[in-house]
Amino acid sequence: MRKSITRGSACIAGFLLLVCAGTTQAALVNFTLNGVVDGSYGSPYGLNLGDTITASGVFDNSAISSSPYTVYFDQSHSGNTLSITAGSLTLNQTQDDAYASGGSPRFEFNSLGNLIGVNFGSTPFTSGPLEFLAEDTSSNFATGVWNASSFNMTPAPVPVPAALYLLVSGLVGLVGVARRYKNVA
Amino acid sequence: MALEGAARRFVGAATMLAISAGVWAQAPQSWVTNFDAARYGSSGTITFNDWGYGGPNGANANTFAVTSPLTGITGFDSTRIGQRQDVLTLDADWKSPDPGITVRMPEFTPTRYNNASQDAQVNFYKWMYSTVGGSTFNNMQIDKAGNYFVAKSDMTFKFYDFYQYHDVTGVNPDTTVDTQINFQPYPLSDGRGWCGSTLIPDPNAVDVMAGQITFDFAFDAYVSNGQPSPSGGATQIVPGFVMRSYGSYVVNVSLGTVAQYFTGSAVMNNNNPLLNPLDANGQVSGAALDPAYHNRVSFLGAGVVPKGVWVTGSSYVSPGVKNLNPDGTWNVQIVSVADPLCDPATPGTPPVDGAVCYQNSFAGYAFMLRADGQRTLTYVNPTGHSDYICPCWTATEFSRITNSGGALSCGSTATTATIRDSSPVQYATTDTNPSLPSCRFADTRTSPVTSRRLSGISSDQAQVCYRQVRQACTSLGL
Repeated sequence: MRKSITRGSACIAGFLLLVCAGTTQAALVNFTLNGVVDGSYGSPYGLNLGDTITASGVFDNSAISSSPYTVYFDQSHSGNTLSITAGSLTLNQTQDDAYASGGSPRFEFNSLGNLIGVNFGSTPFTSGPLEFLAEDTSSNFATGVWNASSFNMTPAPVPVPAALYLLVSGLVGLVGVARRYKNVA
Repeated sequence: MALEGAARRFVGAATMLAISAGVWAQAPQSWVTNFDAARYGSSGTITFNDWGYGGPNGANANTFAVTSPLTGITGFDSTRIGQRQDVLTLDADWKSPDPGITVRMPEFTPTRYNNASQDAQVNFYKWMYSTVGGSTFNNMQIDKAGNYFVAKSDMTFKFYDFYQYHDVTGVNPDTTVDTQINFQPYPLSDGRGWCGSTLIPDPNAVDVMAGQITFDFAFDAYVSNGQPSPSGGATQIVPGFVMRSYGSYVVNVSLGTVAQYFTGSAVMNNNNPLLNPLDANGQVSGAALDPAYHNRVSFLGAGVVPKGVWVTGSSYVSPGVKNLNPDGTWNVQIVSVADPLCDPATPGTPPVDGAVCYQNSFAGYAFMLRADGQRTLTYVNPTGHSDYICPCWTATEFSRITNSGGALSCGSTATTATIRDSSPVQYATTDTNPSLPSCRFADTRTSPVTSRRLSGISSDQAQVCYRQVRQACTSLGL
């Protein structure tokens, strides 16, 4: 009886190792988001009415499903990356004024998982909640709004080194279980 | 239920116009206090015209506790001090918005004074007294919501023992008159009220601001030209005295056959007293602002000495023997002002056990006290002095967006709020995230364009910005 339990536990452990190898990093997603310029004063960074700006990057989407439904792109979430392109202006999360102190930039979602806030704070580009403003050094401005319905997430590829390690660990575990089962039998 | 877009925008714009143009842009209102013979021994009215000036968060002439729009706390909050200031009274400089008057004082010599300046003067019954320099209101604390708190111990009053006559026409020489009946005022309670300096971005600027405080006070009368003494004087207790640094008064109270009729105007902070502070509608306009009078103020208050006031039994060391402080002032505790009526002739049932109905010997005497003062702002909280000021924009700047008439749009989350116009580009936003609260303002309608971004503002300041944006958007139906 005791051996039977031990065998069962070992099988479960081995199976979990394999499963984990496939799911540990599965919350990472690639995302893209578009916004449209609907007002301008001059053409900052070449932006004109109707132009599209984009945000893209990677984040752990598990943050979307629990309060405060916020994805942070700060130092303590170094796996999350954000890049914003608005005309000739390209920014990443480290160029947000608050990057060093945490908290912002960030994406805010409601409890239904809908994007409601793209928060980025800097002088050349300010965004929040979904409204944005770009300003160049000649005091030209462009404003617009992020199109939440354009927000798209796709599973990010699992980082190879981690996947290999976990897969091998799982296989080794299963082999061990099989051998132990064979010895007992 | 839903308003048409244009109408909705108009309602919102009107609301924001009222906010942006300053709290003083209201219709002037008169506040009348009635005095009845049963309670005062004299009858009549004191009418206060507020010049259309109001305090923070809807506070008016009858408000002495403001509710913080951020914390919801009503009344002074010592944990959220925004400013501290001292006020020192000054000698009269004979610059006053009040006209010269004819003073008749049959009890004193000479008995008639023509074209007498009312600057820094006190009307009392038929007589005039002069406020001299040196009275102090120190450590006047103002919380971010705009509540005043002045500790009783921080208010001191100089002795009133003469009248300085100054002929505004210059015909008669200046004369100092010994009034024979002298007065030593002193506070009996802490002062509380509101201060309008919370409504402007820089409380130390030459800008429109004023306030009011109320406190109980007493004044000891010394007859036969007596001087303050440890044995005290004839104490007159005046509960709920109000001093205001805005508005005008008309005192019209009859004591028997004596008509007590005084008029007087305050001089608001930073105003030249010789310029008219009001526009054609009788509203404070800022027209009298003058850098030469930076932080100068002339406040005033009026009242009538009541017949009697209920005081605690502990105000006496034995029946009829007052519990005096070492300086001769009375260590008296007021129990009740209004109910039940305290008429020394028929005192009735005390409001609490042991209370005594104290009789004022100058019952029915009306007064109006003016004082010129110099304000010194000793502290402004670096995290913001006000629950009403967003550091990224002024009320006027913000109203350029809300009143633009353009196609405005709004957005908000729990931590951020934005209002903007795409054509022309106008944009106001704030992020209350505690890691680095910030705000941003841009307006391409101004010349040159306005662009302001502040990060690292205080959480309170960011909350103010957030609230203003949200309120504007709600008003606009957005």
